[in-house]
Amino acid sequence: MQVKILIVDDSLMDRKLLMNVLRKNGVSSEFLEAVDGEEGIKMLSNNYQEIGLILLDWQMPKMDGIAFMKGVLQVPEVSSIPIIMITASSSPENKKFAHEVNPKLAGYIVKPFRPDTLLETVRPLIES
Amino acid sequence: MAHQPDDLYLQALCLAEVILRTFEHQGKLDVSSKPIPRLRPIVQSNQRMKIMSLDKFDGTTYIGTINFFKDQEDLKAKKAVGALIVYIGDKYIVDLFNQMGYPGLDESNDEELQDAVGTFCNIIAGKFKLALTQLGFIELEMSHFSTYRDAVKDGIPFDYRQSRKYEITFEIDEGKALVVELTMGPVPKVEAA
Repeated sequence: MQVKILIVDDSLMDRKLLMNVLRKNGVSSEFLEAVDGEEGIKMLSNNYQEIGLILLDWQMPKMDGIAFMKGVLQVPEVSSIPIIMITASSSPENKKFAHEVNPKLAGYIVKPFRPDTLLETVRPLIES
Repeated sequence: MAHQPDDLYLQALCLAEVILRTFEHQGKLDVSSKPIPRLRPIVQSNQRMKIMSLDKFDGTTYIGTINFFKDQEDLKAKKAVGALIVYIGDKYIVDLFNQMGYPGLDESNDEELQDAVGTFCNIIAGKFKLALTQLGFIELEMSHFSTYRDAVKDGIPFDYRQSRKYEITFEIDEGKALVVELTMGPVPKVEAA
């Protein structure tokens, strides 16, 4: 059975690219898409039992990725779902801050990413 | 700390280099001539920068913008220190994104084309703010991207005390493919932060 992946990113192009890479490489063909953190939280509340992984952008309107993670960590039912941050914020300080907010952060990928980098980060989480 | 008059030029050169490296790394795109930052006056209205594409491309132009902030507090207060504006003509956008590895851009889908420019703006802004730290500036916070077509009716936020911006044009295969603009107020250096 494939894992359903929630993608929270305001960029349609990046959501398409993520789904394309993961679908083509047999990782998953089941996705939920949210365009900001608020929509992501709503989707997570309604579908948390099916979601096995969250791919999360940082800079988004309404609610950014950091605020989204803080919200998720407060809810025991969803706090164990692995989150990979996929963002244009590429500095070591940004990465460190994201890990401070969410010590369980499962990955931090900088845009533009290579498909191999995405697959190497996602696959162990899906398999486990 | 007093604003160094040359900082904006240095930042514009840095931005040009970031974009060239992105083209080389991501899309293996060859830029026809060396992009040179050219100083332009800012036209403002109600402390917002007017954005028009009439002098950039013939035909439809897609615009992406991102603001920079000195810190989280300024970001929350929407007190921008800088702005990055990306313009791409409709004739070039599909090719540009295909070559950058983004699949299946639908040239008849206006929303998708606008999103593509915003996505590009976001990638460039992230790399640019990192490159600025390598020049000794503090690390800036950045906004999410916003996108428009042809013009931004109400203008965009910027440091309204600034009166100039740099415009940088990139030609690919001898054709004008991309124009970016940068304006920035005083950004502290790390040692003075």
